[in-house]
Amino acid sequence: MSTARTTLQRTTVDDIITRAGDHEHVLTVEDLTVAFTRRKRRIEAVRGVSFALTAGRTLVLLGESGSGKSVTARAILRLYGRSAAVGGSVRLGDTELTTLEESWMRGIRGGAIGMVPQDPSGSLDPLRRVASQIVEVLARHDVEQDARRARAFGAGLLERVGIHDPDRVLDAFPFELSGGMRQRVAIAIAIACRPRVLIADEPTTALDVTVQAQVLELFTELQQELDMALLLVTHDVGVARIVGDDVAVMYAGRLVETGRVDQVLAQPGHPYTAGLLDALPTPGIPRGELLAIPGRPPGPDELMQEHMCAFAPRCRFAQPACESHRPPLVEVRPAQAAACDLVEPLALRPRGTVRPAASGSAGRTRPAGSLSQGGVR
Amino acid sequence: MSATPLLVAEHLMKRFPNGVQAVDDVSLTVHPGETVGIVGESGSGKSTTAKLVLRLLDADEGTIRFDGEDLRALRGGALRSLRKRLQLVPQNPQTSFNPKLTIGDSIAFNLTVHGTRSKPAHARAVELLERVGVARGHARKHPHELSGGQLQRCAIARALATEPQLVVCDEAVSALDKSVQAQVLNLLAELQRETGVAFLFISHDLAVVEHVADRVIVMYLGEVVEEGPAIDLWRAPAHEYTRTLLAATPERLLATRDAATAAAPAR
Repeated sequence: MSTARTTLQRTTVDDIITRAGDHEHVLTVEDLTVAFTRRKRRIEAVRGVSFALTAGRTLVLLGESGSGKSVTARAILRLYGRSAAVGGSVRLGDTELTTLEESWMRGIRGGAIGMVPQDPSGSLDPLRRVASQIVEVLARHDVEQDARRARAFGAGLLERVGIHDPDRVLDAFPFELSGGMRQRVAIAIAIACRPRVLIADEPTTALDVTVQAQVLELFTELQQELDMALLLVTHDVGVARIVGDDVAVMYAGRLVETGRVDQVLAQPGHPYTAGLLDALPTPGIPRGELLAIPGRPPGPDELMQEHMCAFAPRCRFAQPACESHRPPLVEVRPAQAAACDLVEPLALRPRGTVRPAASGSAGRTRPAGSLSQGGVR
Repeated sequence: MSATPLLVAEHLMKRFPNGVQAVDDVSLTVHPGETVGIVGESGSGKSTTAKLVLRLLDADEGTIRFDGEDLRALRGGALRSLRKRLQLVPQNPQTSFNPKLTIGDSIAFNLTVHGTRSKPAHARAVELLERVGVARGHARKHPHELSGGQLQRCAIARALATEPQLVVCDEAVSALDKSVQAQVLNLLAELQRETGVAFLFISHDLAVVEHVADRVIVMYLGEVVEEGPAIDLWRAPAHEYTRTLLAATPERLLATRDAATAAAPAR
């Protein structure tokens, strides 16, 4: 850390960004914790999350509400300021971001690390035209100071994100654009400075399915073209499948499983991942026979015992041992890790496109009365 | 399937004051005990159609017959008593429960408003809560004390309190986490088997609709572009828009991509 700081004094933000490109992992998150204080109580939203992003690859942070996935994404950019206690390490290349001076951090945000929020209508200024919002970013990061050239640059960006009439959009206010258009504008702003890392927090959740498909394709294209590392936060397994190379599954503020998307979703190593997949309505599953996970995901403000597996109360494989220790993330197969004592791969419910008369559940028993236990804990 | 349909809506039209033709010549039929799904993207008119059927909005044109009665002609007490048989589970339970009333009071209100006395209404509310998997103690809680999934179960209990023949579910599971959504979908299926209630199930989530619906109506810009048994629609969509909609779902996108990769081997 101290060496990082002394090096820092000799460099500029540009150097930090350039140097980040020399590292195998452009962004490294190590043992990240984020805690808020509410009514004098410490609420730990993120509890020791580690992962690394590689240029040209997409890591999907998959989790349900309250799992800490968005908090993780926002904490990387230090968007919580002093309202959260952030521990652990976030490094862009070899530069520690958690202790970087705020003035330098402003060069990182939107410069080296771009962000696409869930709801573009909340992130775009409702009172300013699109053009001025793009020009501002370009000027702030010293990409283009000249207003006229910046506008032309902005038009190019809008074309790049699939907007065919950039001049109309540049002169529009956000409310005059559709949700899909606004999200394209937000993406254009996020990639304006050719970031090394792009963080997208539920970027398609507010969009219709046909628009979602287009936007996801755009992400994939841009990533290859700009050789960015993409961190995509989502609750949607389908979205994870489409854009992800790697996946990190979050539950109750921790990673419970990591690995390659195709491998994890085909052969989950953690019962939560398996349960999430089994809960999805899939063609072939008779009505009323979804394999629901009983209970509900715990919120960050619910006291959780540190010494036990947070998923144990809902887990159909739970053993007494699960309540007495918390399994660490260990490799279950090459390049796949899960925080569970179970070693054998979990069989998923068989899926088909034809409705079977009655489908078995591949060695797993459906919890009796799963619907009557719903969340009353 | 019974020969006499429960709900027959024909040629519904609704234009809003801003000139938007939200619903344009929509007809639909729901039989007793059946689940009819309406899918479509935002602005397709699916929620407006639901509001017309519930008479929360008045249609400009068209007819709605519910269990043989002309719904659009009903006024006052007659309309109110019919509403007993026609209930709603809205999208967001957080905003559909009165924040100042307890859950028990809210559910009981749906009975007292239809003439049940307070005490039996409250007793019934507790029974219903238990039936949908909510602890009876929650009857004394306020909406903000419950999670989204719990509250959505309460909304289902409230809708079923009057023993309706048709429940309109407007994006009723969309706001729920997937692990909880599965519980609620199972609950709806179980209640339907038990009570024979029919559902008009509106959702933008095609996988959910495919799972719950017997028949599906696809809406686009206020019009019905396709209608048919869920299974046929998914296997062989006839309308171009239905094909576009299905092709955009993650499962189909992946299948297309895999096919493309297989067709074009490594460069």
